[in-house]
Amino acid sequence: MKKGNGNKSCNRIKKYIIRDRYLILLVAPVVIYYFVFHYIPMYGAVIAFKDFSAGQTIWGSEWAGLKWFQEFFRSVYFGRLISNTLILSSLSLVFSFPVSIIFALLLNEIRRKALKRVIQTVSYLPHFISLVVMVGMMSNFLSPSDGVVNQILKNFGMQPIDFMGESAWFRPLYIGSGIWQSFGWNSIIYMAALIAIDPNLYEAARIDGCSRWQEMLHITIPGLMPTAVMLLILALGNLMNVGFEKIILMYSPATYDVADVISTYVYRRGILSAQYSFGAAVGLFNSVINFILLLSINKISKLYTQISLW
Amino acid sequence: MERFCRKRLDQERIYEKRCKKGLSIVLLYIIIFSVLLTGCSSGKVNTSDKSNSGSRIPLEERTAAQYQLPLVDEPFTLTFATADNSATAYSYTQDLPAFQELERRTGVHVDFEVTPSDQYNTTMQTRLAAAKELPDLIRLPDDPIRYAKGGLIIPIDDLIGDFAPNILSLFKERPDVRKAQTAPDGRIYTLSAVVDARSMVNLNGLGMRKDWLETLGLKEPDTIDEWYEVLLAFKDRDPNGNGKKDEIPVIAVNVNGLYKLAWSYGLHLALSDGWYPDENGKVVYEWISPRMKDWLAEMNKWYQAGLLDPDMNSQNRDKYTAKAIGDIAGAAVSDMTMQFPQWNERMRNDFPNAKWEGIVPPKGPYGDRMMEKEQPTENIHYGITKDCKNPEVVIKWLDYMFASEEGKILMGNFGIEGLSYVMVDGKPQFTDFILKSEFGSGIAQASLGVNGSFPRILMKEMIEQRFLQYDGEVAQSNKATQYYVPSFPRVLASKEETDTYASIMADITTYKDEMVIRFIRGQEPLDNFDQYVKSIQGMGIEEAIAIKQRQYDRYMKP
Repeated sequence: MKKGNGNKSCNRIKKYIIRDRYLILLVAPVVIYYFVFHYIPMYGAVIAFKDFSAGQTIWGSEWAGLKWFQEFFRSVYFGRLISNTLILSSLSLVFSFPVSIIFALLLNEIRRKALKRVIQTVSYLPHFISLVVMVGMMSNFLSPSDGVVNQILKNFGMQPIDFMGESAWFRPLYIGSGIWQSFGWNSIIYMAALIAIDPNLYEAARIDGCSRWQEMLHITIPGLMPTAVMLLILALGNLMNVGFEKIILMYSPATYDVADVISTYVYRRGILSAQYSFGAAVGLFNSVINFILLLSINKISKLYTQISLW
Repeated sequence: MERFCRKRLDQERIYEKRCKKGLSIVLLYIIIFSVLLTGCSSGKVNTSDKSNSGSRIPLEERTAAQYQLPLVDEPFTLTFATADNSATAYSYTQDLPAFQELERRTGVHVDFEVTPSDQYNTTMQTRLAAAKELPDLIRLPDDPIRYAKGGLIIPIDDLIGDFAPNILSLFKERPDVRKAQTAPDGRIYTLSAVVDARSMVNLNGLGMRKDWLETLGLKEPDTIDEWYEVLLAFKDRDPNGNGKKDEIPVIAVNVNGLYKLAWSYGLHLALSDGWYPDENGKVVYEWISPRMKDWLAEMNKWYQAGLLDPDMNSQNRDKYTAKAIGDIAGAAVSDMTMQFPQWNERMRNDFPNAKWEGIVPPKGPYGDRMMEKEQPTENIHYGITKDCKNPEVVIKWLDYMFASEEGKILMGNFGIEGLSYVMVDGKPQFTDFILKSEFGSGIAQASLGVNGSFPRILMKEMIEQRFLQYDGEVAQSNKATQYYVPSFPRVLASKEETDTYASIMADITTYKDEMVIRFIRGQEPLDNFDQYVKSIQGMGIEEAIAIKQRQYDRYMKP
């Protein structure tokens, strides 16, 4: 009886597979990609609880319990790393998130197609500059001895400023350059959302005597909201991840006090001093916090706006 | 209709359950399989470790048969991972002339796996963490003992005892070299280049524009205070005579260069990283010593007066060199002294009077004057990996290219006879190919693949000949070498020592680097120095000092 049932359901599976073969084929690369590159490596996170060093296998090394987590929590830098990470990422979220929405709205109001396209393309360009080149440009332009910016300051009789070496300048530079590099690119998704808004709504509004401003306020912005909220949730879920490569390129011991974040610390200790287990423990801690943030914000958003990721 | 639907739903639920069960079985298999796999490979590591242990005759009493060329009967390919050539246009992967010659003689072909030298360590660390399919021979990215304990590199003392007569005699002649290679467990896992021949000619020292001194009618500064006066004059009195105050009195690639000025305060920061024994042999962490405060105060004074390189925080060597040969820098702290005559040559066309020259370190307020001498060996270790199929050939090859008389001349020093050197009275003598090269003798050597990132022994004759043409600089070097003090001996640490040391020092080093630069730049008032000392003490420096003390004692034991 049981066996017969099993055969039956197996036949079913076969039938489904044959029926949906193209769909399965279509989705397979993505599933395989995620499985191979995002799920399988996850088992490596177990070294956070082990005393792993190069040459040992992940399973073969000794268990260390929560030793590495304790070491991190007791570290003198624990507080500073957390606050630097949160400050840097929330400031860049606060400043850069609205910029691409505003840019998309402004662009939407341009009626000349050609002009719109030119502006859009120009705004994407910085996105394609690699970070290394970008930071290289910054340190050249801002160099206190021969940088353009300081030459201008000097010509106005001002003292040159060591922009890259002053803690006070680190955050503005980091966030400012980040906005410059990403606002155009990030606005693409809003442009897509704008196109998706039903033109009939605008027509109806115009018949009812709405001004352009009112159209934007009551049709365009509400139309963008679901996308914006969705992206905001995703961004908040990444609050503990800041652009680590860029900080590595930009910081120096003189700016550690504002620039040193969890990921750079993991890099210095985990990779440079080859304490892999410690690095993995801190990284895992970071991911867990991110995960909790994501879940709770999704929940809040579901309660208040009915928009959620799932 | 509704019933039918429900039935179908039920069936789908069953099917779902069954699938879940199937999936979990598959997962279970994957887990079992991977455990088996890892179990096997860890077993392999252990056996390779065991096979070499047991009672061994000490190396001093061993004699190995002299090599016979070619080293192998059949062509043999050796894989070697190392940092790429310092002359970036001549990658080792291009089969450079010296390696061709080496292959002709030994029959061993070298297959290089190279990474640019500034990325090498990070790349190799990641690769070693994965520990799969390693090349036969690798340049280790950091502390070798960790990799030895992990079984990634194999002990080579028995191999040396059996197959490497020349390395054996090197160890006999130079016990300090052997000590530097000996692991805490008494075994040898790695080889390093023997480089101290250069420290008597090409010094890790200070340089100054002597012509600027003449232009301003100043005499060579002898004390730290006189340095300050001279540098102020460089800044204010327009020694380059272009009517602009564009002079940068002291240039430094980064703050580390300034550590050489701490010599005048009796601090060994530059080459010993602040670890040094006092008169009683007790190891001290000089970064928190009272003298440190004096040095920081002086550097802060210099910084406030605008004497220090403003780009010290974010520049690379190219930018630094551009300043040095751009006639705007007065003193340089980030170089080997033989750099100076080479700068002069590069400046010849635009600034014919420019004269960079080495200068003896200044005397400090307490009468200290010294220079730290380089270690006998380079702090770069080369080891044979567990994946090496034929360690015997590799060690024979190393013995020939690293320590034999012929190999030493070919790979480490003079290169190819007839091209880069000729024999005069039975001694190698560089030709103009090296000495008159328009790119400098170092690049000319490197373009052949000579004197690069592999085990080598530098010969004093080679260094002298290369720099003979700079007799003025050689004279300066001779003046300065009398102030040499040995730097803190580099001792291989045990895995436990490394682990503890690394976890203590990671935070301390971050904090120390940050505070030193902030003190110098005045972002942190020097009144907080005591606070800084207390913080470092609170971070567990005592334990790190104890580790350093143990290592020092181990080294001093005969």
